[in-house]
Amino acid sequence: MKALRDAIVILSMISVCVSCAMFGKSKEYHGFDASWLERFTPGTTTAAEVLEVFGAPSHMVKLSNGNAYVYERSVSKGTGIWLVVLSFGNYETQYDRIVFFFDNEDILTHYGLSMNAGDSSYGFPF
Amino acid sequence: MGFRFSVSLVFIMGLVVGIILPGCISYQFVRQLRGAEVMPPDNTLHTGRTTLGEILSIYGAPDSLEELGGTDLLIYERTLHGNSGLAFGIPFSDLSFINPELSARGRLGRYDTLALFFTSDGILREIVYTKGSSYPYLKTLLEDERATDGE
Repeated sequence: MKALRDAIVILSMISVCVSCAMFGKSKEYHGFDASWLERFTPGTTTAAEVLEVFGAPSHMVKLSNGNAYVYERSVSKGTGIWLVVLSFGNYETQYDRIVFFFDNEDILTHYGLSMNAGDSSYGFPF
Repeated sequence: MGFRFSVSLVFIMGLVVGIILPGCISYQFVRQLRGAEVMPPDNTLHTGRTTLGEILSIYGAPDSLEELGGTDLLIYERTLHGNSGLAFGIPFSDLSFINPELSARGRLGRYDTLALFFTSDGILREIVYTKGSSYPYLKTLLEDERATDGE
């Protein structure tokens, strides 16, 4: 009986020693501030003015009646747990994104803003 | 001065199994979530009337944009991937070419998508909403487009 108890103690110690937890965070940074949007007026602001303030976009999309400039940044958070033979991981990525719509004359027609990167969180996968 | 633990077969077996087991058997589950929750379309959206500006003020910036045959497509999407795997193997690769392994893996993808089609004048033309779909809407749509173009 004592031997069994010792075995359980040893197994428990091994379980603890070979277990680990991890928390990680990564940012895909693009310098922009939502408050800069106050400088722009649809109908008059040009693509050049947007580029001057925001810099080069993350990507551009050709649309049926103009172009869209997309500015994007992301925050990813990861949580990992290793328990001897079991391992669990959870990764969440959220984005801040601004999309400017320009007509064929490169005049700003609309813009859309989503700020969700701050909502990225650590957690378990279950 | 004696040993604290009595050496027995059970003790040795427990030690050996505890050391060897993590190297031979593993189960993993990884969950990946990307994007914010997608709001389903409500009765404020009307095809033929709602404008691009109204959509942007309600839903914010889309996750992706595409131009498809004179129509502009805005996609709001949240993806959830779950990967799980059970593996049993004996890592002999450093000692010999024989490296027996038995494994089973599963991958689950779930897509919540709101796809909004606009005319070139920025008027909402069509609304597509899917929740818990196994396939990404845009990828499927583009593959269908390419297949149609190829005919």
